[in-house]
Amino acid sequence: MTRRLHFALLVGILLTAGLLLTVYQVRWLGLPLFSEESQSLWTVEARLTFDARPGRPILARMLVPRVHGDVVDLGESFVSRGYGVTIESAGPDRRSTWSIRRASGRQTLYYRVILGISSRPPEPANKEPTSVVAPALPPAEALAVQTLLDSIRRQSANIETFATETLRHLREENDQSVRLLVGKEPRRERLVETAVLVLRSANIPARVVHALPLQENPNASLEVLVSAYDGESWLLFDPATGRQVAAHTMLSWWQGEGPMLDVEGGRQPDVRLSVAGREVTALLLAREAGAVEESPWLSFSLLALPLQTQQLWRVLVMIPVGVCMIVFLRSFIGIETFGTFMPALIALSFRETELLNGIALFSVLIAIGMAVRMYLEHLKLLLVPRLAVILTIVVLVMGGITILSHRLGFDRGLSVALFPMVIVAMTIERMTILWEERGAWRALVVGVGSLITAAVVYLVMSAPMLVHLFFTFPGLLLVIMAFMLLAGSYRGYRLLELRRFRVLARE
Amino acid sequence: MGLLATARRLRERGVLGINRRNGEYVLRYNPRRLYPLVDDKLETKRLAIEHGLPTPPLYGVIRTEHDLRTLPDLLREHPDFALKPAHGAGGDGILVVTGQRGGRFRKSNGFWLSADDIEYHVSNILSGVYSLGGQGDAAMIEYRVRFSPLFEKISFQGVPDVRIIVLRGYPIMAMARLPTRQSEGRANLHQGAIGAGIDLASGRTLDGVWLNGRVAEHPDTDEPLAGLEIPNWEDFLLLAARCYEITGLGYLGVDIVVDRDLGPLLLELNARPGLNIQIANDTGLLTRCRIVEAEPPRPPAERVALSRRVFGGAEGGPARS
Repeated sequence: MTRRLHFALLVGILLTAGLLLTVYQVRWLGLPLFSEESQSLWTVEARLTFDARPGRPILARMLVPRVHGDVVDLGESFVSRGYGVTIESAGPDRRSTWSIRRASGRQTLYYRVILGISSRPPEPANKEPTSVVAPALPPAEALAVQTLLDSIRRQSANIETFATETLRHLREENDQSVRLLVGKEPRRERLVETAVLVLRSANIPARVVHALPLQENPNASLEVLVSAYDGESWLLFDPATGRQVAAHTMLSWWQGEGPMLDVEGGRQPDVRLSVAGREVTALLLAREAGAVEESPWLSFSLLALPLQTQQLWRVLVMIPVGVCMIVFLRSFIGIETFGTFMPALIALSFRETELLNGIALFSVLIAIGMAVRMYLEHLKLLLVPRLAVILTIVVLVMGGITILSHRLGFDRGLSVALFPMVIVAMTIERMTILWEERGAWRALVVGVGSLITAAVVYLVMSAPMLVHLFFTFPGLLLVIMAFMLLAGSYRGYRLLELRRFRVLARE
Repeated sequence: MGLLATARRLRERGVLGINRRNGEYVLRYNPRRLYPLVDDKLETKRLAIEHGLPTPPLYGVIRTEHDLRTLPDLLREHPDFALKPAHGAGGDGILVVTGQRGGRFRKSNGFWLSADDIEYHVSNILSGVYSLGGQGDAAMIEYRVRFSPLFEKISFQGVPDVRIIVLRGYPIMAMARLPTRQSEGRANLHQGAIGAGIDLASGRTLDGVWLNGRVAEHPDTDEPLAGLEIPNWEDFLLLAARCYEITGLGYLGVDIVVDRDLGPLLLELNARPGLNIQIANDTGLLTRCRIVEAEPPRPPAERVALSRRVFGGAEGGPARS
């Protein structure tokens, strides 16, 4: 009885400890329980080029974005050989100034910023000015604005609809007031400037914003947008459609007078913008943005490790989970496998080959290996040299498959080299022995059982959801251990035993 | 029948599953340090001889490649013999030679082998091909058991034997393991031999199990399996019961072979005997285990008497009188 109590206590302690640790991490450290959904990380690059005028000092000024709101700045860099770089405020914008006393030839300067999109609601920004000075206009224009405002006010309910309506009205070219304000077939800039004018006349804080769309684009350009303040945050509106633009899809680059670019001592200045995206996990983003690292506890967690090491640990923490699946398949289902944990090792190599290719490659490898092994039987070799020969054959066959699949352009075949060779060789030997002793059928049953187990283990070990859970909350491994303990004390029938003993269950 | 219904029915009938066998019987009654006594057939044989239990006489042992030099002499002395790995499991690696002619050896299935083949087999055994963990092994050459007419009609070649499960020294279930063409003369159920249940009280055979299904006749000879009476049944049970004392293992499978001249001989012991014996007897082991677990320790003869009294009758109930 005490043994049972001891056991129950152990399981209880493991479960409680594991779950408490996890709850602590979720509740107090704010680690996301499920959000392994990937998020975009954008690398925005501005490439500034110009020809240096010989013998003159160079002063290149460019406005650079002030990152705030939904977009998180994960690091800026200025790549410019020999140049001094200073950053200063220029009205509402930031300006970077590159300077050098002497340069010749084509100059290339880079500004690069890595951006993340925060999953948290942005913190209330510094109090923006809420009072607006209504612009002074000539009487005719003031009247036209007033006429528009009357109409817009009737059709809008809040700042958002007000801005949308303004832009819609400004696109009605037949309207006399509009014609007066923006002229015929207005340019986009003119439209935006007028919209800002109208909004300000209605005491709504508004401004012109030059923003970069955050989309993969090697040759991006800034778009001119209307920005209006709704009392909490700045909303962006596309003048072409009149619709609001989600703040996290745009990087507001500059909004003041401009110009964006100004080079003293250089000719033909040009700037090219590019946006490159990559997917990262929310957790990584949170960490890189420094949102999570405040807790001293986290500096002792897997999340504090360098990225490369983290990748390794994302695999390692899943091994107990995969092995737990083997426990389940053996103790509760009753599947037979070659070696207890051989399927776990095979499953690890499936990570690279992917499941179906992996199964096909593994089967081919085993089949060829067994054919050679059966031939070796006639040579009557001793066990260890025989295993050595099989191992060599396995390597050769792997090489053959690799070369063949490379020639055929089937690149997945290249990953065959990741199969654990020693395990494959041992499997070939054991399967051959089983084949001879118990017949082909049994060998196939156990072989297929091993493959099925490896497939299940692979699917479990590579499920992104589970990887996130166990990597972020290693406490769950204690829960897994509790399950293993429970499985170890399970005394009921295995699923396949029900089939085996079914004749005994007849009435 | 649904899975849950099957499970419930099996539980009602006291069928023992692998998990329970391992957890409640093997792990509980068989201390690991005693395993070498049964895993090593040489050790088992030594124990049997020491305690006066009959066992097939040992002709010789080959432990190293060096010892292989003694093989030809050994083979010359004994025209027929059984060659076994000392640590073999499940009947793997056993080679039975029934005769020699002109330097060639006749296997029990009628095929002929050369001396080289035999030497290769021995060397395979030595390198551990047939042993559980793949570690080095010894090859033993012993007396070939002579076919007793007892099971002649219901076996195909090879040597049939009797498997008795013994819990705490009480025999709780028995079956005759009968080779078939499919099992190639071997008496192992995994390899396709038939297991025919045996009524513990009378020593009379019952219907059998073949490849996990129930059969009434031997598939090769078409003779009915049931109704064969094993002479001196008491001796078999006593031999099995005494294995508890000599090994200390509480849950044992005792394999006894019947020799034409020497009578019942202890062939080998198994610390985790298979569960198909339940199908052969159409009875669950668990019910019988529970009964025995409630019994106090007794001397072997009394244990056998109790088992015959309690477990007699086809369904494991009281004996029919």
